[in-house]
Amino acid sequence: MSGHRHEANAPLGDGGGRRRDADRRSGRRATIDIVVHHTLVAGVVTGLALLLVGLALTVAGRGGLAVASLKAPAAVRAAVHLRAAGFYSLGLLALILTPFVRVLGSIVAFAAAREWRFVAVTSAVLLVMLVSIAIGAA
Amino acid sequence: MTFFVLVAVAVIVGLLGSMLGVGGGILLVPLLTLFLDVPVKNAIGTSLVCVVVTSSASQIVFVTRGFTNSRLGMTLEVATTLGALAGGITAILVSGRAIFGIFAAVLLYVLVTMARKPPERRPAEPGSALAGSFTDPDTGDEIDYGVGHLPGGLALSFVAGNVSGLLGVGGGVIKVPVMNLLMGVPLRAAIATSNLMIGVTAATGALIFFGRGLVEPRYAVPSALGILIGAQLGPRLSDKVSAALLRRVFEVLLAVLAVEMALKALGV
Repeated sequence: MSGHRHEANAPLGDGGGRRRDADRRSGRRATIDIVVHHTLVAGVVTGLALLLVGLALTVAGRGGLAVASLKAPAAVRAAVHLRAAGFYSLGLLALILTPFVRVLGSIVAFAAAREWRFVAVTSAVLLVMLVSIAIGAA
Repeated sequence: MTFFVLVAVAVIVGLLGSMLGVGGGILLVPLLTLFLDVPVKNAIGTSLVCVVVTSSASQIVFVTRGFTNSRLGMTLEVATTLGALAGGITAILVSGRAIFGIFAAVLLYVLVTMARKPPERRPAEPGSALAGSFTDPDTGDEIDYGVGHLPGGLALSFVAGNVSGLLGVGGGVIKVPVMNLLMGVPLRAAIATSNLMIGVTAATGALIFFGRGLVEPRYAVPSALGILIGAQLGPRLSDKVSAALLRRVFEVLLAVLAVEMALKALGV
């Protein structure tokens, strides 16, 4: 399956204006992609690092693999006291929230590109995610 | 001991999933419930975390290659997250046996989808606000494409989200055909965009399960680490294993798991 092909370095010719528009659009897309890329790397690395610190603390006798995950405030308190359970819950939360931060990053990137329609669309996605956080916490 | 068994199971799921291009949830939930006696709702919570992890890790690569259509993904994600929200709430409320029954039906759907060769679909004309483009890595050509049938795509995306939130799977097996066959998005872009959506959808469901205490670190931590290892190794090993053999193994595994899940639903 393929779409409509053209050579990547083709001359502008009669469709030069359209091509420049496409290039601007492509440039904005690249900016959005870079923001998304950095967000994902930060989220995955942070989550994994927290889980690995938790495992190291378990090996050091600072608590086993917890049965129940802790809510964020309790997890922070446990982590401050170097309890493994705190790092496990924070690590899992960081991994789960990575797409949430990615959606936030997309809103900022679409706003910077003045693509207001997609700012609205992505904000709607964020709103649904906030509702799911509220339902989980209720 | 259980920790290492869970890591091993998750590595295998990550390997198979990444080599065959399917999410791990479709295998992980049955394996956790049937063979490791993990309660089904805890297995779903664990699986959703794993789906988020694999999606985020894959997107790191996909996004930089420019295959992902973020505008299309976010537009469809409005319907998918709503579906995941409804599915997550339903999963909390319905009985475990009902979930086993629905899971068996979805496994059969996946089996049938994989077995039949999809028809060729003419790409939609470029020009709409959701249109995208990417550079074909095989030919170096720039591929421009449009997006058609948005209302139908939104409706089916809601269904995909619902299945994801209810069963703890990614739902890519629904999203990719919807984008490719219904909306005319080239397969490479459909897979990458579906991968982006899977993470956001699964996170929506996972946030409900986490808040309800159904993401237990004793299951989720080893599973998340294992599936990440497997997903990294899969693409490196895929050249060394026969794709046809791998597919056959996967189909047999799906069939066995579908029967086992159906028996659980019937209380056998």
